[in-house]
Amino acid sequence: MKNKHRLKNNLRKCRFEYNEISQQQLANEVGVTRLTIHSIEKGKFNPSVLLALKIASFFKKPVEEIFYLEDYGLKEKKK
Amino acid sequence: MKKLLNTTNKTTLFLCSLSIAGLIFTNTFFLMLKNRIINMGNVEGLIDRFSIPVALTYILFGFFHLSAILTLVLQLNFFKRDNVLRAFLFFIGIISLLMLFGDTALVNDISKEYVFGFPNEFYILYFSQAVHFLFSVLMMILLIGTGKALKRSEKKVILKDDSVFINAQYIGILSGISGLVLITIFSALYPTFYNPPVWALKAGISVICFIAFVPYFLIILYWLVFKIREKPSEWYDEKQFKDLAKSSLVTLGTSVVFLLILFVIQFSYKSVLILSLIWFPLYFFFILLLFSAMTLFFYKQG
Repeated sequence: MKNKHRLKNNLRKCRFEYNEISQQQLANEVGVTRLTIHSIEKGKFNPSVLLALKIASFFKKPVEEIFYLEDYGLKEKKK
Repeated sequence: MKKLLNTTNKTTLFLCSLSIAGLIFTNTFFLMLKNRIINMGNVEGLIDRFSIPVALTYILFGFFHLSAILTLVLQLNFFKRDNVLRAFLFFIGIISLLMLFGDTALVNDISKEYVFGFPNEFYILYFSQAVHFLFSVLMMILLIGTGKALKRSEKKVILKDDSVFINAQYIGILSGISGLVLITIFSALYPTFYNPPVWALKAGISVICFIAFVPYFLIILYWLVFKIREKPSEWYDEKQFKDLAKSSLVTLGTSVVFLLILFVIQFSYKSVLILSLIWFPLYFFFILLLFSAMTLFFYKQG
């Protein structure tokens, strides 16, 4: 049996809790474009470890509090 | 910045209005000239009477185009949002500016060759006038729209800007399409001309490539001016790098298929000699179109 994982995040919640900063403000802080933040929030783009750590450092939270793995199905391993 | 943009917006709008009036004047002159040539009237008299006003109108067109392109660049820098109309105007504005020089050569040719019959240069001249007119009208629409937006908007702080990146992809798509379409049309029409020399084909293809590529070259140059101060590793953010890598892979795979098709055509039909002259421009504009379209697709997709 093999688990399939997907990277999920609480970025939107973190922004809301952090004085409701905009995607653009966060993008400026971590040195990426606004669309990259938007894509991460939507789960369409997985950030690098460096970017994930930068985001976590900005919010002063451990990285796993913002990014976490979610199982989304079990797949029978073919023999 | 906002004050400068406001000034250039107003100046360009003023010049744009004058240009539209000037286009009506020059087109009336070209129509009169065409009728005189067809009716074998006094062509020289008409040219003598109108040559200076038409030349002055063309100088006005030149100033309008330069002012419009400056305004577009400033808007690109100020609004920080991608706008298809703005990208299209940047593309067509550069082409229209280049065509102003072409018009001068065409009118010069017409004034010399009309004695041998109706010059075909008129058709190119009308096409060129249509491009100038389209640019002027669309520019006026954009200026009126952005004039209102400018009053209520403040400059946003964006450290990692993607507006030039997105606009470069739009312009790449337009350059690719226009290069492919114009080369195909020119190559298809070329054999229908009476006893056409090969140099005319080479010259025609070179001019088309130049006109279609210059807008893309200029936007890339503009982007490089900003990026040259940064390290190459900081030119894109990590999502842009990933999107560029994906579009490069698609482009690489498709380019092999495209070249294979060209090779099979050339291998199977030896009479298609024209292909040996145009295969590279076709390949180049196809790659430009595909790469820009794919990059934009992956970037917008998220």
